[in-house]
Parts: sequence; C-alpha cells; structure tokens
Amino acid sequence: MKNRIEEIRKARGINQEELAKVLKVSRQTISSLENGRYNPSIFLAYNISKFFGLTIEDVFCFEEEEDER
Amino acid sequence: MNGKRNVMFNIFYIVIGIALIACKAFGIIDDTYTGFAGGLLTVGVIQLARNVKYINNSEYKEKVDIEINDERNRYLRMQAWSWAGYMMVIILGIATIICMVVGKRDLMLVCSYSICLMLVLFWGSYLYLNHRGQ
Repeated sequence: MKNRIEEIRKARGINQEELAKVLKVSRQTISSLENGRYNPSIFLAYNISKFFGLTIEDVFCFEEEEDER
Repeated sequence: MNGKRNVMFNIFYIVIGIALIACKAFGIIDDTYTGFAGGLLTVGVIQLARNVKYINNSEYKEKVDIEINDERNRYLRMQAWSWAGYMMVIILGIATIICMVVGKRDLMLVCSYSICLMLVLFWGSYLYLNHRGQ
C-alpha cells in the first residue's frame, strides 16, 4: 500500500524520530511505513492521519494489490 | 512490562543460583548443577539491573515499552515464531528420515512424535483462536 507519510512529514518539518515518539512506535516502523515495506494496522493508520489532521484516504492510497500469500 | 514483578523473579533466580552454588560448595550436590546455578545467577543479575533501570529511568521505560508494544515488532515476532515452527517441522522430518536410514529407531520415534505434537499444538491453537472469533 502506497502512502504519503514521508511527503507530509517533510512538509511539516518533522523528523522520523519525533513522529515515532508521538505515535508511540519505533523509528524503524516509520521508516518501514515510508518505504512501503510494512502496512500499518487500521489503528496506526488512523493515528497517523489524525496526527496530520487528514483523513486516512488522504495519507494512504488504497489500490488493488496482488495477494501476498 | 511489569517491572516490579520481574524484579521479584530476578531475585528468585539469584537466590536459587546462590543456593545451588552453596550446596555445591558444601558437597551436597555434584558438578552437574554448577553450570545451571551460574547461568541462573548471571541471568538474574543482568535482568535485575535492567529491571531496576526500567523502574527508575522513565526515558528507558518509555523506550522499552515502545520496543515491546510497537505493532511492527509484534508482527515480526509472530512471523519469526511462525518461521521457527515451519523450520522445526522440516528439521524434525529430515532427522526422522536420517534416523530411519541409519537404524536409530528410538531417535526416529522421538522426532516423528515431536512432529505430531507440533501439529496437534498447531491445530489446537488454530481451533482455539477460531473459536474465540479472531
């Protein structure tokens, strides 16, 4: 799943460490999310969107993906 | 993480370790338990230091709590257990065949029963989680 976390974070002048601290996750999680290596739970997606003051659809791009199994 | 409860466990490990070493010193037990006692004592002391730091240092506590509760870390831990289970079954399967070929019947039975136990545990866990509605 693609997302705009890195773009929005940089536009707001926040570094990964600060974002991770606010969301109570590790910095590696933010890095993995930004690189698209990890898809967040609905709770984390909601918290990220809420922190940026946007909707989940504004931050995450829900596209048809192949089944990873 | 429950720091205070863990401290109690760590003290328990240290006491058991010291008790076993004392028993060895007085000749009550043989060398078999010395390594076990040393291990308990070492683990107890290291974990005690970490848990005391966890209780007293709020910054460290926050860091540890995030490491434990971070959803990606939890996912990776689950994935690692899953891989470990698969690899264990494959290793036991290979060991069963090797033991059968070289005629180690007892070892072969241990390996094959271990595979059966793992499969029973897997299906038991699956049915339980399914029943719980996850």
